[in-house]
Amino acid sequence: MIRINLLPAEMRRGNRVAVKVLVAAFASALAVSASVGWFGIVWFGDLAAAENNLASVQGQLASKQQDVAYYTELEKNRKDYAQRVQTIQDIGKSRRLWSQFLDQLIDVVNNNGDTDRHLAWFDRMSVRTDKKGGATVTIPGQVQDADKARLSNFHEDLESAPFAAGMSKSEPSWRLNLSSERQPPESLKFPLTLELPPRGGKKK
Amino acid sequence: MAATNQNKQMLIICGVGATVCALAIGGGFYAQGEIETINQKIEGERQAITAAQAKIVKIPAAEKEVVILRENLDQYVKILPDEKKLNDFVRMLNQFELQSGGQGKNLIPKSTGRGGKKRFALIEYSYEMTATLWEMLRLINLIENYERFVNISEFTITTGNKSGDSDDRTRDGDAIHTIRLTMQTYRYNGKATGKEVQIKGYEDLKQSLREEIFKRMQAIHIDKYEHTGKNSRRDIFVDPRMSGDEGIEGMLPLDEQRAILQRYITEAGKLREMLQRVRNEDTTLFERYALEKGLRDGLMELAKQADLDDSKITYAPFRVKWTNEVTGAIEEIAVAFEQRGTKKGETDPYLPAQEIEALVAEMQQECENGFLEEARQRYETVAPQLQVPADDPRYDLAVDAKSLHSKAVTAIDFRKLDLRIQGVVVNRGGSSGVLLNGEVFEEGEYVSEELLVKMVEEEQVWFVFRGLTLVRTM
Repeated sequence: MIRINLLPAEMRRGNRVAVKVLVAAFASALAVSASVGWFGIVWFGDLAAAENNLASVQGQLASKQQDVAYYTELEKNRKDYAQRVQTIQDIGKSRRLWSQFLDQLIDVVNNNGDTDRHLAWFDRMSVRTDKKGGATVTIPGQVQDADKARLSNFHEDLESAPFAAGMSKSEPSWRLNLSSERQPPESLKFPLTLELPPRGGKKK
Repeated sequence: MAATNQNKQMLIICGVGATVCALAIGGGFYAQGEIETINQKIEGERQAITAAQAKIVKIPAAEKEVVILRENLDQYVKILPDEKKLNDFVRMLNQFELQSGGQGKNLIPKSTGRGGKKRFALIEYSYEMTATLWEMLRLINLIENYERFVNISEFTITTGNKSGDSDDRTRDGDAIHTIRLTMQTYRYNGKATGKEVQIKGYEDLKQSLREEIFKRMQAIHIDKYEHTGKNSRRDIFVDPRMSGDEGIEGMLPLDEQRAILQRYITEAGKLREMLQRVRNEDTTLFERYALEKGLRDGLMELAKQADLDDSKITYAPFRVKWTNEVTGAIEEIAVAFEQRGTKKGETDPYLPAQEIEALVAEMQQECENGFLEEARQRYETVAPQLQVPADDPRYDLAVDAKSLHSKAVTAIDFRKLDLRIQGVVVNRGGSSGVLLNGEVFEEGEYVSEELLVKMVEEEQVWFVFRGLTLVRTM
């Protein structure tokens, strides 16, 4: 048997939106709203705020860049000048004042006029410095008289001289020398080499 | 059929919803990723700001340092020039030759090639001269104390007149030697890494830092030594023994000279012993009176005799001893004898605190009243008795006295300077100037290494001389 539904289409039961469809549509709408809303908050809220923040921080940094560049230039200038000062100090430290050394050596040899202890003089003098700042002083000389104790006294006085710190010295040795033109005629000729350490350290 | 439609509808609705949700969530996570990246950038930028701020905070200190260093640049350049400036070097050597009395024979540059990549380039010269030992010492000392850094790396002394006898190889009685020196000087190799920064308010800053600039300039120094001269010493490159004919030429034989010397040394020893007894607290008043009279007469007699016998001591080693142990000793005993009244006890070699206090007060007054020479003399008269050790309670007073003496000497030296103030321009809003010896100097400018124009006023000009502020009135 054929049944014909004569109700208007909207009134027909079979054509009404099914509850499950409605539920699905509602749930979908809810999920879409929530996700789009969250997206909107993140995109237009947090991201925009972060971008603004970044722009602000970049602005702050840019405003300081000029001062930083100025400081950098100042530092370059300071380093240039300071390096020259350092160079002066470096080369200055390495120098030995030979006028001071000679004055002190003359004092040792003169020995305040005490000729009984020793009476020495030198035949010549040669001074060489090495790259590390050490120096070799070669001063062959003589002491008056044939008394060998005077040579020892002279060596002792050299060892206690103001310039003797860290110094090494050739050992005492002598050769008797006679001169008919001088009084007394005897003298002891001796070789002498002083090895002075670099300034500020002992020579190895 | 209807069920199928419903299922399709649901599928479409859910599908569309899921797609939109997925896109939104994906977009949200993408945005969060972006935010994370931006936050990292912000953190980086903030660190950069902190670093920049730390640098900016240092700008005033850096500006001060640069001003101080730049204002002293002239001083650095003098010590270590950028250019060779060898004409000046040769001129300097000529000047030193004239001052010392030595006679140069040649000056030859040495090629070194050393120090090419170092901060300084080495320039070497070998130099030969003839001079007495004392002339040579003076010359070396002048070279070593020259404002430009010069190092003597090698030298030889060849004795020209070993006997020391008077002939054409002596000058003023001193033997002439041949001296060969190798002198090293340097040129600064460092290239400036940047241009000179323009500092705002540079002049004002310079004004405010002038004391510091001056102090720093004083601190830039290379070791120097003041050679004091011959001081009765003998030439160590001359055989001091007497030659065979010395006795014949009217000079006393060695034994006689030794006997004279020994006699005087013994006499001086006796006088010194009497002085000790005078100082001894156990000595009775009568004994002291007799000793003082004997000492006074003895000193006069010995000094008179020493004057007469002075020419008899000709042997060089004896001359040194004569100077130190006879003439020097007589003077020393005389000074100690004159000062005996200022000492209360033998054990205390220094002035009592009350006397140092009085000395300081008098020196202070004399300095304030302009009697600088008197203040200087007052100190120097008792200087040996003011060498108080640091742990002595009188040390601070002695330091005060020394400080006043130093000021007096500085002021005396300042007074001696040839400073002709020919006019002043006083600028209330800026830097004033003074016309000094025909040259214009602004406030804060150096007239010489030791002299700075501090302030210019209508009636007077303030200078800083060796760290001391002094006024010169018009």
